[in-house]
Amino acid sequence: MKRFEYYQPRTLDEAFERMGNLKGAGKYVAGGTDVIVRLKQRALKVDALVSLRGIAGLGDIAHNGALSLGGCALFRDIERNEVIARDFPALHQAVSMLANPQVRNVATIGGNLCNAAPSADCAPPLLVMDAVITLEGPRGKRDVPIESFFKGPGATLVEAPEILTGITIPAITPGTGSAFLKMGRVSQDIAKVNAAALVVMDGEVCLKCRLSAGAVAPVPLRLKACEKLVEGRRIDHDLLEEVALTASREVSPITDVRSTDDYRRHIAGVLAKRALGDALKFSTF
Amino acid sequence: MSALRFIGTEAPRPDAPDKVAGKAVYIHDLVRPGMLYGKIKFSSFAHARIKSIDTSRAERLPGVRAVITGYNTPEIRIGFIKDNFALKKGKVRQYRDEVAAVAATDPDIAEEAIELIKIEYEELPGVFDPEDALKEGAPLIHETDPRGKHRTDNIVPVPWKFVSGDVEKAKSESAHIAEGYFTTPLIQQSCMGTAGCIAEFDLQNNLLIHTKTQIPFLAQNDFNRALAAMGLKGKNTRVVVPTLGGSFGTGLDTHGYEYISILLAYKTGRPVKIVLNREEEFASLSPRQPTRTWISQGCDREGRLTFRDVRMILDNGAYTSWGATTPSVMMLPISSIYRVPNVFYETKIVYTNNTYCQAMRGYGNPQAAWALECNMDQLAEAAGMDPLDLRLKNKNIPNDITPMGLNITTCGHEQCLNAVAERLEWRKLRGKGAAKARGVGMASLFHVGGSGRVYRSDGTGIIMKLDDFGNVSVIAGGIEMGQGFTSALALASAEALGVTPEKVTVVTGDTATCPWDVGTHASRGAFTACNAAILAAEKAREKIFKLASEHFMPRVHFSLKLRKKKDPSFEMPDLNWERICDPSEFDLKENVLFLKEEPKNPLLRVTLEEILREAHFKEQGTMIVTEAFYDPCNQMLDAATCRGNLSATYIFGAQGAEVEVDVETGEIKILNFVAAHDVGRVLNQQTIKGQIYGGIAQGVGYALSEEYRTSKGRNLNPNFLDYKILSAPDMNFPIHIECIETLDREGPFGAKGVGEPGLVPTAPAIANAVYDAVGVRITDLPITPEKILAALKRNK
Ligand SMILES: Cc1cc2nc3c(=O)[nH]c(=O)nc-3n(C[C@H](O)[C@H](O)[C@H](O)COP(=O)(O)OP(=O)(O)OC[C@H]3O[C@@H](n4cnc5c(N)ncnc54)[C@H](O)[C@@H]3O)c2cc1C
Repeated sequence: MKRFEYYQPRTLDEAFERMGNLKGAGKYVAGGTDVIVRLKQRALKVDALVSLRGIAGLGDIAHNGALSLGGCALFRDIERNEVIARDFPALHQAVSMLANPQVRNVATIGGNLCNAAPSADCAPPLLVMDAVITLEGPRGKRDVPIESFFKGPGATLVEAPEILTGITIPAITPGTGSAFLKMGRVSQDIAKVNAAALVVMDGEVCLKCRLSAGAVAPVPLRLKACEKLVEGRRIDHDLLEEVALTASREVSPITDVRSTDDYRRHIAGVLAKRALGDALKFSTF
Repeated sequence: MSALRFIGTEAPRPDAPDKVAGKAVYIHDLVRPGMLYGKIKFSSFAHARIKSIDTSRAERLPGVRAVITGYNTPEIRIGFIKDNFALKKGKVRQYRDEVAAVAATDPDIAEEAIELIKIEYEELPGVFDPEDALKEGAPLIHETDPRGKHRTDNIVPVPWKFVSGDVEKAKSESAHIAEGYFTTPLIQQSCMGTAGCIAEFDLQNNLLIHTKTQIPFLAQNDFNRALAAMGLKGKNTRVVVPTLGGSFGTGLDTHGYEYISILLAYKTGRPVKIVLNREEEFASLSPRQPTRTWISQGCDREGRLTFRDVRMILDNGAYTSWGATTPSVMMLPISSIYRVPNVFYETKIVYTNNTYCQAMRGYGNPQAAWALECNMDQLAEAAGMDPLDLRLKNKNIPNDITPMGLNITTCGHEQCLNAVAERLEWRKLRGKGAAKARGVGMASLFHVGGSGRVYRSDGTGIIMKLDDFGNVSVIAGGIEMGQGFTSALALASAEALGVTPEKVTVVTGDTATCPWDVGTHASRGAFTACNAAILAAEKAREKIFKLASEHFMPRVHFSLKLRKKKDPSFEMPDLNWERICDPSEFDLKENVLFLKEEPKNPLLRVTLEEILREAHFKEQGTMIVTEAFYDPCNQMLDAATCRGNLSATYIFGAQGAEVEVDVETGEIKILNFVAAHDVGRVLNQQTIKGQIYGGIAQGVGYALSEEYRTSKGRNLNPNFLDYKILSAPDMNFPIHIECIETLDREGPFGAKGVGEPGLVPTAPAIANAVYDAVGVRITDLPITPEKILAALKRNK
């Protein structure tokens, strides 16, 4: 691993300036669980890392109906937050299944999104929750819907020296339920496929449905054809099977060392269906 | 045998606290004064001619102390048949071929220097499938053999064949026959502590090497030969083994990186450290061989086995390690598990441009068991029998000599099978879980339990040194690599000598001070070392009792007089204080000497340390050091017929699993796991369970998730991100371990070797359970959800 400088700015402005001065040869680091690994594998070379850990407030989690998570919110804090466990179970589940306690003690949600792996476990829950992402740079702040955030494997809307400073999840309405499922080769693994579902139920009828899946396309996907199928209908066995079929058609997975395209396609359907069923169980009136 | 005080107890391991707290010194922690860091430049091709090597830019890099290649260093041949070289010249045959190396003042500089070495290659067509390598016209991996003779094919000149009876005739007479084809993948040993060494020379050109090895004395010999090749004939090597973070067979050969650090150390005159990082460990250490096995077995109408026909192809990779001898161990279960009169077994080992392979825990047995035990279930189905009944019908029995000449003495096979069946509720569950996609499966194991004579000597030495405070150093040739060797040896030494275990310090891992040992392999560490310790302890006891005959009564008298002084009311017993006792009158237990006649008499006792001090601190005094060399009573296989009693005793076992298959995803969930092993005798409850649990965890990984993937000879998953070993959350099912004690007469206190067997039958037990659950038989490991789902679809 090549030697590099390490900076720990105290404010956003200081961070922007540092990063600006590095002229493309720097990277932000939060938990470092992606960036350090890539440096060691020599998949990445930098002159300097600029840490976001010294910037006050970036790790905060706040709830006033809507949920706001700082860009550097730690997985361990998210996992232990009771409101999140109660109102946003899909996110809670995704975070609890991610890596292991050691990694969760340092890894951040912002790092997960900015790393933009197609398999990122936080993406599907945030997609079904219509999360909004706040990016801040020297020229100001902008909010982007998570749906347009990912551009490809490892690519996002973030333009250096911008920092992902927050994630806002709209308040849930009565009748909302959500769930997340993941399949790996062993229990601690990058997802072969992951999926999340959110439903807003009015009695037996589904008013709103959001479904998403990861590791099945260059970016985490919303399964919009499935969502359309479900909205306005009762969720029964036949509909779930229809969802499974439709989801399998909506995804475009690849074969790699972790799994095959055929298998992923099939599993995307199974997980979509099961996540939907689970979301329904979590839905409260 | 009198009641045992320490053997069979739940004794914490003496090495555990330091390891857990990070205090133990692994090769990674070790620093020598003036040390340089070595780094190896590996090949960029699987098969290519080396056209030129330009090291000039690397040499100019500040901080670089040496750059070496095969062209500017003496030729050092390595490997089981010496078909490998420390540094390659002419051509490369695998991606991990060492082409150049550097030593620099820090690891980053060494890494940078490696990148500055430019090598021009001319790529050659490669062959990556052993069956392709056997075809006419296949590219030759080695054009000549180690003696320079021209080669015409890719067959490794280490053939294995065992024939007993008449298989063809038996085939024609069998009532039922089952055929199968089974394969196993490359497996990386996945030691927590990666491999590495530090080589250094003194000014007499003797070599000191700290290295990760299981064979310090054979390595010493290998390195001495390398010294001779370097023009240092007659110089000696001292091998020192630091704390090992697992080895699992990786330390059974000496490796390119060791010779390279020796060459670099010699060239620079400084200690040179090479430690493999995780990616290098994956890409450049030798994994467990992959096998392809064609098997058929038959039985008569009653279910008695009539024949077994097994043909294997092993992918050797580009060079030959001791792993080429694993068929000798595969042969044990193939010839002898379950009683079978007619056996044909043949293995071809084939060169390819894949990474060259080595032995791993089980020494070929897991690959053999995979085919054998899956095929047993196939045969049971063909015969319409319950697989448990087929196994019981053909079980191994005590006091039986098998066609291979294996002399089975104690044998708990039947108890093991029954224990598994009972714990798993076999009779209730088998064949009944289809509705829930649940099933049960089992498999047996047969392995060496009394060492294995792979080399001409199967011996091990022990030195027992007592000091004047009653402390005992047990200096052993074997190696602790995490398996609990020191713990077993401390308990056995304490028990045999008559001291408490905390008095015992086990010293290992230094060829200059420790007595010779052939190597810690074949589950032989505790078996051989504890036997040697018992011999050394007997000699020590003789000496102690001789000293006691002179000093015992006077010491008793002395301490009673002291007592009388302190407590005038004490009544001095009327004894002959001048009496010289006979040595045979004494016994020693838990650090205290007493007279056998009066074991309970509180007055007639002297501590061991008092006697030792009396004998030591006087004119013409003495001290006690004893030694023993134990070489088990077993035989090397006859080269032509492959017959011989390889081990002094054999270990048996059975494992069983209950599984549930998710038929929508193909995922397997283990609901319950049972392991019953005939271990002879439990030496330490804690370590034996550790060995078996650990074996099962590796076995489940072998069954379900581990696979060293390659594409045209290049490893695709050189890290734990994509090479999936199990971690604690995966072992989330009940595991019941039953140790059957058959008290083997060759074993120390009756114990057999238990190091390897834990993982042998795990994969087939799970595969058989999957078959019972959903009627799908996966024949190529690992059993992934992808394969199950595809098979379920085909079955529909
Ligand atoms: C053993 C292990 C297991 C893992 N398991 C999983 C798993 O199960 N599921 C999963 O999804 N991931 C997993 N990961 C990947 C990783 O832990 C997560 O993606 C994690 O969320 C990354 O967060 P971090 O804070 O460590 O990011 P870092 O490594 O610090 O940063 C990642 C990238 O994001 C950029 N970045 C970070 N924060 C910001 C910000 N606020 N604004 C702008 N850019 C930013 C960095 O410059 C870098 O390019 C695993 C990693 C390891 C090492």
